[in-house]
Amino acid sequence: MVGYKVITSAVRAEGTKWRGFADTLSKVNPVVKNATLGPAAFFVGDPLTLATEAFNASLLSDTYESLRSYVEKAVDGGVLEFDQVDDALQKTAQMYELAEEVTEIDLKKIYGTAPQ
Amino acid sequence: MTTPAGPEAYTGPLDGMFGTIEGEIHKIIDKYNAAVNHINDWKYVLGPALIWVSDALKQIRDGLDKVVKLVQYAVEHHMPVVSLIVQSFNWQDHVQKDVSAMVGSVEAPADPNLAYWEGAAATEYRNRAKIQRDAVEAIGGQGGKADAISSWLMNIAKLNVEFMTGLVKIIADFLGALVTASLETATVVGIPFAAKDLADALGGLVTNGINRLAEIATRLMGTLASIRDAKGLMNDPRLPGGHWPQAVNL
Repeated sequence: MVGYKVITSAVRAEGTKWRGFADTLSKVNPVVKNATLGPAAFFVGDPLTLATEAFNASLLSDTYESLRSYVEKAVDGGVLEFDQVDDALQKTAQMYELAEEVTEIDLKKIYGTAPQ
Repeated sequence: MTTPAGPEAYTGPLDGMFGTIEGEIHKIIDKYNAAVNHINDWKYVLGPALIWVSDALKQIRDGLDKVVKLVQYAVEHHMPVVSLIVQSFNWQDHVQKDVSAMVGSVEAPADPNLAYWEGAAATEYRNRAKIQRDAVEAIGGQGGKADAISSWLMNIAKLNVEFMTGLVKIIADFLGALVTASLETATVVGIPFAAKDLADALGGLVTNGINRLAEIATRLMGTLASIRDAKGLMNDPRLPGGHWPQAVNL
């Protein structure tokens, strides 16, 4: 292969690695989804009897929920992306194997339009 | 901060303290009722002094009401707070640890022969893998999202344990004062003085105790500042726009 050096089995193995990451991340995903907490979960102290006007259980739970859902959304995307990296690497290996004489691989066919 | 091994480090002491206060509060109520009954038995003998005694009893009753309210509220929030403690460990053990384990392996080739891969496609892959690695680190790395969320919840857990420790002390002191005064066995001559002394002692005890507990509530709200000030927590270029960075978009 002119200008290219690649051992395709190593590229395929690399793809499988990402498949494993996708599996790990998809096990993390439900943990994050189920980690919701209501306002009652933050404090055993009765703000009325304590006369602490500044205490705001909803503010605590809202802040927590925004963090939790932020991570949930990110992790959702990660599972998908890792699977696609595997696909991209398998496709790369296939292109190397099919071409008699590879001079150039169209990277757009592998990664699409995702910004680097 | 040394991180405890499991949620039991917090839920254990909490369970113990809830057991204690539920028993103690009943002793306090029994003791108070016994005192009231005893005073009622002597009310005709006490005569005008009864007004004085009644004022003292009302003060005692006010303090008791506050303590009972604190106990009721705390008992209702016991299980929800336990769930917070469990979640703080889930973030640590099942999010942070699992994701951080990936950080190193993202860049390490599955097969050492990958090192022979050169050219534009190889460069492209390595650049994209680096971006993915950074995203993994943003979630699971040191000071990453999972770490920050878990630490914050653990701080809240600790403040709850501290609160309960304070509440247990108030209740123990309250009961101690009732036992010392022993209104239920006081002589008719002793009742007015004992009631007044007890009311004064309990008034200070409850007020000071509540002030100390209120300070814990303030510190708990203060933890919000730290989680909000953790700049980039929800505005992290490694997760553009709160999304996982795209490696592939076909």
